[in-house]
Amino acid sequence: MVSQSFQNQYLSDPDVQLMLKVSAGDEDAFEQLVQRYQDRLVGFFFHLIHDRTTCEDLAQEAFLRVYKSRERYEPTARFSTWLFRIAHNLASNQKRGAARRREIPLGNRSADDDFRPQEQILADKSALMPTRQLDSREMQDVVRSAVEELTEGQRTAVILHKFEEMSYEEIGEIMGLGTVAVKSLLSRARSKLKEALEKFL
Amino acid sequence: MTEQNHNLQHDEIVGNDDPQITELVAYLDGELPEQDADRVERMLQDNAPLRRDAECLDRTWQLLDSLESATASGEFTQKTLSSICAIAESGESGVQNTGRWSLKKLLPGTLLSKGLIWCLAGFLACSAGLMLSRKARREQPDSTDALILKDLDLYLRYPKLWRIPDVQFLKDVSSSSEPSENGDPP
Repeated sequence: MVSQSFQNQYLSDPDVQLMLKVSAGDEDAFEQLVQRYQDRLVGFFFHLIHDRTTCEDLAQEAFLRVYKSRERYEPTARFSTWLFRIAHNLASNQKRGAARRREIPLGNRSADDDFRPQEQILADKSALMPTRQLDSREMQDVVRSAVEELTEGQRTAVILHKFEEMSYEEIGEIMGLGTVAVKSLLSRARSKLKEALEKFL
Repeated sequence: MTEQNHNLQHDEIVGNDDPQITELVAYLDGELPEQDADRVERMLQDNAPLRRDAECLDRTWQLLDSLESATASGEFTQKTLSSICAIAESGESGVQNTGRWSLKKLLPGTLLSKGLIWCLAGFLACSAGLMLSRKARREQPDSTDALILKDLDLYLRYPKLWRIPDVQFLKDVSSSSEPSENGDPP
């Protein structure tokens, strides 16, 4: 009874209606969904991965998964929540894959090699700040470095909240967390960002 | 849900957060119930350092607007739909051509095509060799025939020559038939 009322709640979502049409074999409905969400998906991946080609590939993969699961589709959440849950999983898998590739040693790097952690880049940028105003490009780099310093979970929560304007509840559904955990993630993320960017305010 | 939770570090979710900051952030995000929001507003009016913190957190949040963003390329929709079409079609043909799929499983396509190419090349090479050797044989006269042709004149005169008693006789004839000094024939 309860699940039915939840289902009814999601049935009012126009994108859920489109997805139900896709389930029934309506190809045009699927095209409409792709057009509605493609920019949001590519944007989401871009904030996490910063490589346009990879982002488009991942967005395409997300749509492909939606299409493949059309026959089993049940409207148990808003369509955007379901789609971004798929996207979040894809991004996490991609990050894990990239991390595994980085673990492969690339030879004998000495301590003096030109490897510069994000903290160092940020510190260098910070050192510039008191003397002059940063231009927009430099500011972008500084903000990006600060975001890169967040943990993966914090970063995802920030992107979903800031750019997708999602509520804590929706973020929780996407990331598989409770509202309290999302609150904590975002609080820590904002404190970290404030710490890193305070000098530029 | 639990699987996704494992992806996040435990201390990333549960930690020693400053409850005042957590509440302030939730207030800024519009995630507090009305009653709690009113309470935070009153706190902000009375507490100047907290107000500065709130302003700072808010401006930090606004700085994120400077981040580079991206949208889908012009051909994204078409590419996505085409790839899905291809998958859908391959799915259908997979059902219809079960026999062909099983053959493909047994004989990988590349191996089969390579084998066929090599067989064809071998056949062509053999045929060409055979044709060339036949042609050469046709052009070259038989060695026995050639020898007969070479000595044909000798064979034609053989009935006259076989009466010659010996070689000395021929030598004598040859020396006696040499032209005279004034060039008259013998």
